[in-house]
Amino acid sequence: MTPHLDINPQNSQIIVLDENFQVISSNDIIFNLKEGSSIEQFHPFFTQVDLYFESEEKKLNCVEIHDKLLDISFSKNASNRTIQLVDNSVFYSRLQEIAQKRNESYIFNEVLELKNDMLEEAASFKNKFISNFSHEMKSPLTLISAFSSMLVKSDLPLEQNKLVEAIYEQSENLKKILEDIIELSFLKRNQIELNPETINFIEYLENFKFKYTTKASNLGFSFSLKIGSQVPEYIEIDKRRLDQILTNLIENAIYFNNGENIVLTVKENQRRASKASLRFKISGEGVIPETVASNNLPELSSDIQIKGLGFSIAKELLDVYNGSLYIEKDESGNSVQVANLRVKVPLNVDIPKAAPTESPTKPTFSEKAKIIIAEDNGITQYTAIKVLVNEKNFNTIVFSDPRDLLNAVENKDYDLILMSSSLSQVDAIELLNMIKEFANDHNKKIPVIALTTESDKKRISEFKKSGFKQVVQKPYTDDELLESVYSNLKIKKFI
Amino acid sequence: MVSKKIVIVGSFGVGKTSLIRRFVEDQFSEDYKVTIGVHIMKKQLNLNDNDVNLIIWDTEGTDDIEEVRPAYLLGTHGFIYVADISRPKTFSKVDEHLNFLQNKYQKTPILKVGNKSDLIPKGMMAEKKDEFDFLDILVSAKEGNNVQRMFERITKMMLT
Ligand SMILES: Nc1nc2c(ncn2[C@@H]2O[C@H](COP(=O)(O)OP(=O)(O)O)[C@@H](O)[C@H]2O)c(=O)[nH]1
Ligand SMILES: [Mg+2]
Repeated sequence: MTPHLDINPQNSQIIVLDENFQVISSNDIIFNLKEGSSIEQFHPFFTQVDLYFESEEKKLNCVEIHDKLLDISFSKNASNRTIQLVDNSVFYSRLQEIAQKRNESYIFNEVLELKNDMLEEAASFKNKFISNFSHEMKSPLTLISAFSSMLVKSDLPLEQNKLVEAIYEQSENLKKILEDIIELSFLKRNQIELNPETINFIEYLENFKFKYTTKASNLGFSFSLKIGSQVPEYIEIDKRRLDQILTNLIENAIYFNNGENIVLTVKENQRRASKASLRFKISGEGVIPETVASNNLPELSSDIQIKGLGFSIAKELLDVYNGSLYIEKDESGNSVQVANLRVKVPLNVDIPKAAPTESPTKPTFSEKAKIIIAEDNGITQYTAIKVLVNEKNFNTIVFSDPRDLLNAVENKDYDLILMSSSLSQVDAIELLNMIKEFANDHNKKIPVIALTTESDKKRISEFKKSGFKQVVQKPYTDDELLESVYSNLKIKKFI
Repeated sequence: MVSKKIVIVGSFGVGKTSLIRRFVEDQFSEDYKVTIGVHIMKKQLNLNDNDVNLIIWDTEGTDDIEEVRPAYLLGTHGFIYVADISRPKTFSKVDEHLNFLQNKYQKTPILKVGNKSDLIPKGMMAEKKDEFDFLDILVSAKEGNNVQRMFERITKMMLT
């Protein structure tokens, strides 16, 4: 008796075996099997074929045997064992194609994700590293800059004066680069906040022109500004950011300029309702290398494209505004930097008049002002003391331990405190709160100025909120430090 | 001659088919052809003067080991669990999968291998060995490293 099986004669082969798994009969629809041959020898699949007759697992799907994809079933009765092979190659090949596509795209996505993670990790490491490294450089650079600035003003022989001037100039350059690097790594790491305000755009551009005409004539070329007739008079924008964008692009053009003239052209692309799209073109006679345009952050390992940093900063900022920045070539092959920027055009303009700022005076004091320097970094202490002592208007005292500082403000009167962003691990804001609590009544009212390498805007506004009169960012020049001290002291007392 | 059935399991694309191909035919291809169902190959291995007939079952490779059809696993003497060291997803569930196999097929030895060791930069091998110490052996179907040793190991485990 043959066991009951579904038989479709077109693609189904029935093999009857004896108790030694030798072929008794086969209809040979798929494979040719000799009568009397061992099924175990036919293909390794059948190596433990006995198990399937005994087990509950009586069917195996999608088994590849000699390039065919088969469904295989087993059954037995008292005398015979029967195997049914069903050739489902066509069906399974279609399944295979589907699985192929699916798996390939899975793996592709997985690899993409991995690459992304790795790139992100590397970028964040790089940004952090650059930022830390730049902060570390700030204090020594402040010293070099401040001291050389002081030396230039002293009575040095002409020869030496020139040398010191060169040192000063270069350290100022270095400071600018450092600030750019910090700014760029900051922009890369953080979401930046925009503080839009309404400005008189035409006036703003004219001021810009004035600034750069002066600078250009010092450098031996000219700067001109062309404003398109449609350009709105008033716009809403974060002025500081716009300054940054334009300054960086113009500085970039100046750096790569070989010619006589740099032109800033401002046009309106289009205006819809209260939105205008503005185009800034900066052209000169010079070619900006492609590496600058593609550079994101200075590659510390290879050729450092430090001078291209401005472009990257501008690009990063324009990204924030959903604007765009690219370099195109004019007819003579010179590079033209083109920035597109969307701004709001206010309908009703009501602009408060800015109060004129007084420039600080440097009188001679009748009595020396007593100034505390709270700072545990030796270099910064030294810089600050030197700058102040040179003025002859100040008595300075340094504290590097918060306890000594608190003790002092409790027992003696002072006129001003310069405080670094932390003192022996105590945060400046915390320290200021303690001073307000523990100082004598006089000292509770004296101005406290923060000296800090922080450039995070949030942190700086925190300083101001918590009661610092001013935040002076390192690296600072001696003039910057002095200006801040003079303008915060209650001068009347000393004249 | 004694025959032993080895089933190779692990997620898709980890190199199961490639490892068998390297072992049986000493060949390798960069092309990826997805295996569906099972594919069975045979190879003799001489271990301590004993010839062993290895019947190697190449499975389709799913993310979930429970999906491997139990009918395929009948009479298995040993498992080789393959992960791709370049794709964390392929070894993220090792523990879970091994638990499942160990519970269901008690006494059946399992060899855990990390394939594609050729992708580890030369100087990082020592470091990576530490990172992958939850695997028994690192192999490369592409370069053939440790592939023979891997089959010898599982055979030894199956014979004792
Ligand atoms: N670099 C490298 N690639 C491999 C190795 N083994 C397999 N591959 C590649 O990985 C992909 C998937 O291999 P395959 O053997 O089909 O994986 P399976 O799905 O587990 O059977 C193929 O493109 C292979 O060429 C290896 O040791 N090194
Ligand atoms: Mg495969």
